[in-house]
Amino acid sequence: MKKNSSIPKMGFKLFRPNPRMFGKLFALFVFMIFCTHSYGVGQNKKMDVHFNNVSIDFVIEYLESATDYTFVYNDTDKEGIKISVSLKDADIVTILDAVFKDTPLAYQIKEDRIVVLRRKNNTMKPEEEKQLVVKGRVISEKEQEPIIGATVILEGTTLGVATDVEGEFSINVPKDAKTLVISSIGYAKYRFALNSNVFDKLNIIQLKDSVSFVDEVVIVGYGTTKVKDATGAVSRLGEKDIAMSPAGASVQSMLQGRAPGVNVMIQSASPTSPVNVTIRGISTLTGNTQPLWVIDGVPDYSQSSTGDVTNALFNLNLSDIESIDILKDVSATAIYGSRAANGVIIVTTKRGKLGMQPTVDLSLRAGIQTINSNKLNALNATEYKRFVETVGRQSIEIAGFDYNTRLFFNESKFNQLNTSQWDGSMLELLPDAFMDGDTDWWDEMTQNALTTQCDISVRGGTENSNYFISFGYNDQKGVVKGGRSKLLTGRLNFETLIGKQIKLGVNLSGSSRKTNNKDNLIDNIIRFRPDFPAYNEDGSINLVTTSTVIENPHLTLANRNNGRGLTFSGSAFLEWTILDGLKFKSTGTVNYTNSQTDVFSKKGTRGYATAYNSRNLGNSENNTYVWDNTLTWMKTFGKHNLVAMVGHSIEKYKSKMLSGGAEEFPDEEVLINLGSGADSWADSDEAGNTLVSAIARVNYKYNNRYLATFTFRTDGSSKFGPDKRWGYFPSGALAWVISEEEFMAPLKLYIPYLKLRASVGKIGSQNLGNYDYISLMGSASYDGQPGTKPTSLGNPVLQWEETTSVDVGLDFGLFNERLRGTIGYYNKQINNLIYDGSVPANSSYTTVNQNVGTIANVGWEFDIRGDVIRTDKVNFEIGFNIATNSGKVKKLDGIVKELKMPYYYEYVRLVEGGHIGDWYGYKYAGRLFRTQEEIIALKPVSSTGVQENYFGSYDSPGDAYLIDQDGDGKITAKDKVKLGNFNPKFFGGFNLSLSWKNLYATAVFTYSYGAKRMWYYQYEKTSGVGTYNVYNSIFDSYNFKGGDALFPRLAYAGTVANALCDLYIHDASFLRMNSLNLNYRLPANWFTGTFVNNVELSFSASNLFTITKYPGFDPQGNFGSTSTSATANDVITVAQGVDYSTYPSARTYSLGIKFTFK
Amino acid sequence: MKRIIYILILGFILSSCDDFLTEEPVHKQTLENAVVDYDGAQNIINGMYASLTLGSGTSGSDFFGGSLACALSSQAGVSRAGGTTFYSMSYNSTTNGIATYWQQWYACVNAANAAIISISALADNKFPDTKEKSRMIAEARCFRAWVNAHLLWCFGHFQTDDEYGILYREELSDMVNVHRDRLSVKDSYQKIFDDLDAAIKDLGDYTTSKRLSRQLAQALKVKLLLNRGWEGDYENALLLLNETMSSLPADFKMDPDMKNMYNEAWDSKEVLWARYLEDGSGRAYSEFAYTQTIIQTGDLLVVGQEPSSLKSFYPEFNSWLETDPRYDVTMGWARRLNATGQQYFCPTKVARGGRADMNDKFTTYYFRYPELLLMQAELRARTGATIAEALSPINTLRNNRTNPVLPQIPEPATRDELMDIIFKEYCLELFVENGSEWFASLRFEKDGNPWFKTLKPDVAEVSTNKYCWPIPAVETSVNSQIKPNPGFDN
Repeated sequence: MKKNSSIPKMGFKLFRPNPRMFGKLFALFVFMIFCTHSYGVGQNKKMDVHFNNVSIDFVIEYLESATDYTFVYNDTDKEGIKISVSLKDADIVTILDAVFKDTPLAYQIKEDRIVVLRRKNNTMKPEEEKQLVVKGRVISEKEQEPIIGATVILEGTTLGVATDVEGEFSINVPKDAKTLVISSIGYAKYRFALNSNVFDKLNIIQLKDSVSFVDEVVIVGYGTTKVKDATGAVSRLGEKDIAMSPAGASVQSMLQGRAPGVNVMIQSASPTSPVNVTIRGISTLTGNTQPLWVIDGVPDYSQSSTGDVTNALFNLNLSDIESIDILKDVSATAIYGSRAANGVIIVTTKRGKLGMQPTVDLSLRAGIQTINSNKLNALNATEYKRFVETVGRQSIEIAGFDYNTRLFFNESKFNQLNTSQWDGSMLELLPDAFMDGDTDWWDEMTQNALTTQCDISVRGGTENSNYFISFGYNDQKGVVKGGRSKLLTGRLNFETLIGKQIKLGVNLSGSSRKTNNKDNLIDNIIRFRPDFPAYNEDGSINLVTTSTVIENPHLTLANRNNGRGLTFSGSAFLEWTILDGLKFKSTGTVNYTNSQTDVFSKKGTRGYATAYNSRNLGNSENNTYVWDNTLTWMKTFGKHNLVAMVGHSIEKYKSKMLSGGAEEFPDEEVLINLGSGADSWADSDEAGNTLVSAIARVNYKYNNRYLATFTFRTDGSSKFGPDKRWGYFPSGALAWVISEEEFMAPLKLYIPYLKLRASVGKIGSQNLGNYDYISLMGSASYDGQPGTKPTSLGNPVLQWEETTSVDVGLDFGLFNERLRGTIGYYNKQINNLIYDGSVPANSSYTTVNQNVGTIANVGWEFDIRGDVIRTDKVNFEIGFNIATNSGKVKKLDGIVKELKMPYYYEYVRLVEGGHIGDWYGYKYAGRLFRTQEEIIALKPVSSTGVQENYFGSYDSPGDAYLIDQDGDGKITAKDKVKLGNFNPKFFGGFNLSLSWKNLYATAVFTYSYGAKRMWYYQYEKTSGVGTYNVYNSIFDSYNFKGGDALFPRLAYAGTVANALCDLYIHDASFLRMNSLNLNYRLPANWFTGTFVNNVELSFSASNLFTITKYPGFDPQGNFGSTSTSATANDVITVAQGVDYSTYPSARTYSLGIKFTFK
Repeated sequence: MKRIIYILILGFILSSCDDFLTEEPVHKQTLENAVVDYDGAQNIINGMYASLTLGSGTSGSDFFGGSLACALSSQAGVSRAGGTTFYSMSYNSTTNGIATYWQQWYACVNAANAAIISISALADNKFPDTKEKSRMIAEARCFRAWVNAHLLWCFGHFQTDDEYGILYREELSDMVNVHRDRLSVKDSYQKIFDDLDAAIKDLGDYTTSKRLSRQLAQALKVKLLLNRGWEGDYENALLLLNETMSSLPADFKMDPDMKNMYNEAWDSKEVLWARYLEDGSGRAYSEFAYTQTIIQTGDLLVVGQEPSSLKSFYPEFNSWLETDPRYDVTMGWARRLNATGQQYFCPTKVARGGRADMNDKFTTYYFRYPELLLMQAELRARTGATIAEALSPINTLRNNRTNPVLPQIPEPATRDELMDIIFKEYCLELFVENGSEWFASLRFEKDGNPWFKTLKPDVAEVSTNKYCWPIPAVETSVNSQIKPNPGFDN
């Protein structure tokens, strides 16, 4: 106790007498023959004391009851000490000084504790010789900063000391002492075992952050709250979860499996892979299904799931992120009004802390990605020849020669056969059927790809300011050659206090991302025949000039398909504490994103004449300006606790686009500026919208157990006509913290936290164009002169999609909060769905965006986390979540009774009462046709006695046996039925985390059950194999394997028509180990005395295994994006269910090292 | 404190004002700002003409071109290119094409309305002179009348005084103003005549077929009266026609060389009003019936084999054409779009070279000079003129040509024969150009029946209700107020 002389002098204020306190002490006065008189409350009070030769125990007991202080002492120190002190109107320091003046004891005030200890210069009592000294330094595990005023108590006694400004302590303990308990507010209690190793040295004791999850802060939009005070459904990912993300993850992808009801689908392992995030089901038929992302208060309007440079979410550096809060129910999201129907995700970046020593974090990671195509692979030349010969002979047997088979087999020789007694084996291959190339394109064009990541950040603070500065570099290559994404980011977050009332801050961030998109290479590999020579004799790329539907993969690799995204965001805020509890905050933000695309298609590019080359350049710029003002008032009176906020927000969004292109360049490397093309074109456009909002929220809490939140937002949007411009979005929520009730007291140990909450409210989404309400005029020239004419039909009565949402949830923390979780139910009804609905054709249009239908999403969510082992050395935690969602169409526009999508193919049918995602097609009987006799027996006979086809004229053994539902003896469109649904019945994730000494390990798993996805490749190939190369799974077909094959009969001609049946729809249930992370912190004492504070080594692996029966690349990937689907509608209603086999998955292994310097 | 709150409240009100929420599209005009000066007025007139090929879209298509001419020609029993549905008149509310005509013709009405509304709203002093303003409005009204006439002829009971007239529009369409009923036939005519009378009064004389003229307005009115045939209509029509013909601009005259006229197409001075396709690399795409359908309906070239025109036409009309001197200038070889570029024997007067020259002058002849003479002959015949008087315009027409040489027609013995001569001349001169042969086949009778029954002997009895097309389902299923045409499936 070297610091016992430096007793802090506290400034006490004079407060009015407290009559209640007075009355309480009156009894003591009578009984003990002394009198007291006190005024004020708590630690700031002055009082009268009269102790007349009472034991020090009594004095301590008295002072503990009269003040808010607790005493920490060693019983043996104070034995037999008697006190006589009489003081009037004295503060606590004066009283204590007098009490201890003539004793061998001294005292220290540490916050609300008074530590009583023996004076150093005192002669040791004989029994104290048996005691040992334990010295230690208590620091926070996270920041590695000293913890001042932590109490160190010998377990089972009141013997204890407090740590000093260096976090150090020294305590004498009896020889048989077992354990010290170290505690401090905000940190988890730490039990320090005493053994021979701990004496005679300075023990470093690290305290973890408090594990009481109910005190964790969550961000709810324009404010924060604590878990226990929240009335909404909010899932939070903290810094630790984010730090454990696999190398190359984007902010969307790392939500996978982490929160119930949040379904994240990653299209592929491509560095430019789209990621689709759906929260509690799809809430629209037409527009954007992605949640609203709010990054440090600024809404992100990239609004799509694409992975290219137009999506600014990919420009975020994960190392900068402090937390991600996912707002799901209406109580939490309603504050974002007209944009919140798909949920809101709030990203908060890191900040420094006041008084924090400058801390530098340097993190280096390198990873390698290996392709994981679920064993799919393109055929090599030998395999291809075998495939062509087998399928070709069988095809000709059934359907005769066709365009494709004529390329391989000798038709004139066949014609000379002159017999009906022939079979396929008698066909002769043409001498030039195959070329002599032999390229294994799959091997040639895929690679183990390197990912590197480097982040450096500095944070710290002074008495008045705090700062965070970071710089990041991320380079990810694709497992398919040529694909790449490079990201550079920088950020500065700075806050400072001016006086006591004003806080100013700025957040600046900028980034640049460069991408090379080679996602189409796989498609070209799988088309380009392996027997085609890759190069011509002169060394140039073999363009196979006879075909415009294939492309040499080397050309794809050489073709330019680049993107560049730049973002800049700057915001400044002023926070003014007008009065105690009343705060005004004003934040202004400018956000700028620029994306550029550069595509050059060389001669020989698929889809174009061989002698044609072209270049397209695009540049688009978006600006978002936001100005938010909020006034927050916090007040506690008695048991009532009120936080009220009113605010106002205006937003302006501007976008500009400039694109140009040219074709027929004389050269493909240098003279490719647009002016060098023989023919060129250009276009430009600008658009914008504005939003004005007023917001209000009241949080009310009574007696810590009854909570209510009411929010209201009104949004005025320029996207709507003057009469429909304003939308009103109220919500209300009630919560009851049952565990705070008296009757729960006996169960406090088992059920420390139990909260029931319910909310209802209305939110919206603005899935429409900027000017849909006006009939617009566009250019239409005539006779060489400029002209204008109407080009769109305005809908002045168009309005928001309105979601009315009901949410009920039960949050719990059981067994000393070792088991925590939530169970919830929601019902979202989306009215006024915007859809391209029918309009009388005299308008000169047949469809226009209008509010037509209603869908409802109903679901359950459950998540639970448990500390299976919680000891000093070992912590083992398991988290599990599961969610269901069912989307039902309640109403369509009334004129159209069903919507079939995509437009032509009708894979999916939406009808009133049907579910979103229902497949529509023929029912497969569960087996292929076995014999021709079987087919003939099925054929119906028409009224005129003619035998008709069962399905197609080429029905043959090996074809799918489809069920005739209407009993007319043949397969017609009337036999189409519902074939299951592509949305999972339930999905979720679980994770394990283990910390043991310096080792920390986590594993994240995701799973999905019951989704039925269409494997487009199988569907497509069944209706004709063409002359393209194919995937090796094609050998698992009737042609090669007979009846039990994956693919039915394949052929060049004489196939069944394009008919979706459930043979091509596969159970896409899966269980996947998404990531495994191992993190080891080198022992701190290695670096004692150096500026190195901490070194961590990490290993992470992603996508280690997937258990699934699904035959394609990936049970949840390769869904369509806009490029493969006809319209935006299809993306939402069909594309998620279709696997287009665009790009395989990959495994990533990475190693990292992180240094912290101070 | 109070002051702060006041400032905040004021701030809220100020920034919430609707000005901030009014975002004008940057590169799209609205009706309010499209026409702010004379240039704008000219632009919107140009755009109105462009709507003949663009409709409500941005790329050209064929809804007021050969497709319409072929459909009506098939209905008359002349050309096969319109397809069997129109031939047998078995169309219903979901028949392909009909919905497109309806929708896109209204797009043309919409473009005309946009021009009428915005030019009317433009201050007089923005025009070079006040006459120019009324001339421009008249041009747009004439255009609207012309489209409305087609809506009435094809979708209305244009010969009967009943309730099945046109759905009349005079405002720019938006989602709110499109649910409505149609006018009676009588009121429909009144609206069309109002527009035409304004055009006759204010429009300028003919200078080019690419723009509307007073002469077209007059001719259209004559044709409307002729097709209607109500009491007094023929007399009034003839009066107007005579007046028109007595003051024709010197420019507007028949070309002695028919082949040359078709070669010059929309640039020919014989053509009063035509569909002009904007210059570009692929005019053929804006026209489908003439550049593809009518060609491949014809006879595929087989070397060493005489071509037959029977593939292009039904037998009765074919027998007339084969013996008519015009056969040699109107028929020939054209190429359809396919990989091998096969040649077909077909009506090259409209098909031209087909897809051999993608940017050829694929013209729809809405009105040529000869039709004035044909109408004159018919009107004289219907208003009691002598056979010789009635025949003389036909012979004038024939006389005006030197290539091919068209022999004079001798005076027939009976009025029935006279009427047959006039009808055949309509068909032979105008076939597959604008549907005139269909309307003529309704007006003229053979053996007590409209002529089309003779031209289509194999077609079963057709109800008079089917002389017009059904209102398409894309309208009737959405617009609860509209009365569909009787006799159809909707």
